Amino acid sequence: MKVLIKNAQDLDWALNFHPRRPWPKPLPIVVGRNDLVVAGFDRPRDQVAVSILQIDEEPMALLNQLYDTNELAPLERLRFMKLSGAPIELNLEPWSLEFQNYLDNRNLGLRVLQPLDHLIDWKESLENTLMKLRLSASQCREAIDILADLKFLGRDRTSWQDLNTENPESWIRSLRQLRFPKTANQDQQRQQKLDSLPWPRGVQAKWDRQGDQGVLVLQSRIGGPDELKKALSRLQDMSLDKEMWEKQ
Amino acid sequence: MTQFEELFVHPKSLNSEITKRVIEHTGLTPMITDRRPYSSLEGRLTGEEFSKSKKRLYLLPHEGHFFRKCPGTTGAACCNYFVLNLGVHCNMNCSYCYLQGYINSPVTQIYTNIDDAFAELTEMIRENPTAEFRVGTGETIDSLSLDHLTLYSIELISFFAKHRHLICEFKTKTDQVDHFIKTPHSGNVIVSWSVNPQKIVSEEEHGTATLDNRLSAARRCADHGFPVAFHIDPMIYFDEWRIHYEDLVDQICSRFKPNEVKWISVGALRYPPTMKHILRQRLTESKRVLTSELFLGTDGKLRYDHDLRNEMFKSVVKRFSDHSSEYPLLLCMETGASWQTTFEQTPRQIQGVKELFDPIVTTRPAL
Repeated sequence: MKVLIKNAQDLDWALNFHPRRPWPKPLPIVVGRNDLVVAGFDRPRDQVAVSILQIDEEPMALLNQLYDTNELAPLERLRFMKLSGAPIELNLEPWSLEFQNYLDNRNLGLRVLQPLDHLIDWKESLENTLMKLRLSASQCREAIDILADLKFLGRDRTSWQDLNTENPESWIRSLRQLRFPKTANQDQQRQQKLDSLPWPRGVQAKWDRQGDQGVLVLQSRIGGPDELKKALSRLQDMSLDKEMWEKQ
Repeated sequence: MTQFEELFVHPKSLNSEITKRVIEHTGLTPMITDRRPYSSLEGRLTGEEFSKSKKRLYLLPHEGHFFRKCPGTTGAACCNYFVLNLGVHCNMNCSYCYLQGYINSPVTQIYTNIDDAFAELTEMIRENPTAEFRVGTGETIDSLSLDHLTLYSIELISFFAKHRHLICEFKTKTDQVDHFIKTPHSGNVIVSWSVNPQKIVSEEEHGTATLDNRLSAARRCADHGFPVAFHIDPMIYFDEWRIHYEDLVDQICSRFKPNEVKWISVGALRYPPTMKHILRQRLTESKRVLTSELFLGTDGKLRYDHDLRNEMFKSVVKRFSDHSSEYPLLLCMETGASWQTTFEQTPRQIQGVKELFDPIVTTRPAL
């Protein structure tokens, strides 16, 4: 083991494993047998003089010592496994490292990411939109699943590309409307019906989709027992007939 | 139906009658192995491997219990169904098949030791002499699609003829009944068909018998005194669903009187979200099962909107009652709310259905 100064261009970067976290700046690039780099992949590769720690060992053995696969994020682990020639469950090639890290930062499992294999045609728009929106993990999971469904529904990229991306919530809502147009339309009609009803003052009525069921959610601020009594009595006067719950 | 291309036989199954018949029928040279073939592929199969697993047959003795309670689904009314698995996998190819999300074996398996299953059942009966078990053989394998190789139907009919208080159900999408219909029976083996309108059969149930052939086979069974049953399950939504399902009901009613039908269960398309990946990989021309508007139900399965399901169920129930109110209908894997909406009653309030839902007390905690 020795510390040397070398020209970065003389090193062999072929392993090209990009861990999610950058190699700490104060540490030298780690190089195994045959000048193969095993740590410090994020360093500039055109520098004339770089500090390296050369260890006379098989590079794969060194990599295994440096990175614990149990601690790697899902796509990071795939990149690592790919180096050893192990079969991997997802085609990583099309996706940029930045996007892979974006997904890994949300700790999305491979099952959730499998639909990406069907979205390669939409790579650019998908990466840009998702990264711009800074979705939460669950929003990301839902978006990838819906987008794959839209692909199988034969929808064009333009169908979702131009959706309002002001905030993640409204974007996901718009995506759902695209994916479930009939149900979204029926839910909307029910909301309109609710809006047309004379709800007691202070009561808010909302038609809410909860999984496979649409439900009426009533919200009211009650300040005391008398108010509660009044509100309940007024609600009882409401005629929420069967028609309300039946499809239009 | 899928033709087998590779045959594997466990050493303990080498001398079984089934092995001899399989070799004769398929003309395949068996590879003898006591290890599950292609075991390196075990786990979650890719779509391609799942398709290949239909072409590889492994004959082996089953170790462990054959007999267990139907797992049902969380929150659904339970109809006390027990399953007897005599193999795993199916040589037909329905787009919605739940086995796609369930099977992790790269081979189709047929168990060659049915005698052990009978011994287990006999012990169950001895321990629970009054329990009226309903036992189905079509949960992890179609009851009859490989029966020309196993001839298990004949052995099951003979076994159940000696235990008249029990009920056995063969559940199938084939029309292969002629090899057993002349077997003497006690009227407690029900032959049931999973049925759908011919449009769905053609587009989603690949390699199965046509609707007409299924109903004709059911008629032949009924003519030989076998009670028959139908499962209109999974109902699949499409633009003209109502006309097609009403026509299906008309076809059943035109061929079977209510007293010839033991039960008619109705259910709608459902599958776990994890199955979507393999559906996407194995997609055929029809994308209906994948692209329908399905939502996560309280049992964790993707289902149609609750109201749409109930509308579909009600339409079928109404059409049957237009013919006769005597057809014994029940919902499969549905919530109490769906029963209420469809029948305006819970299952235990409906005459003829109630008995199926009365809890069975058994001595075995494993059940």
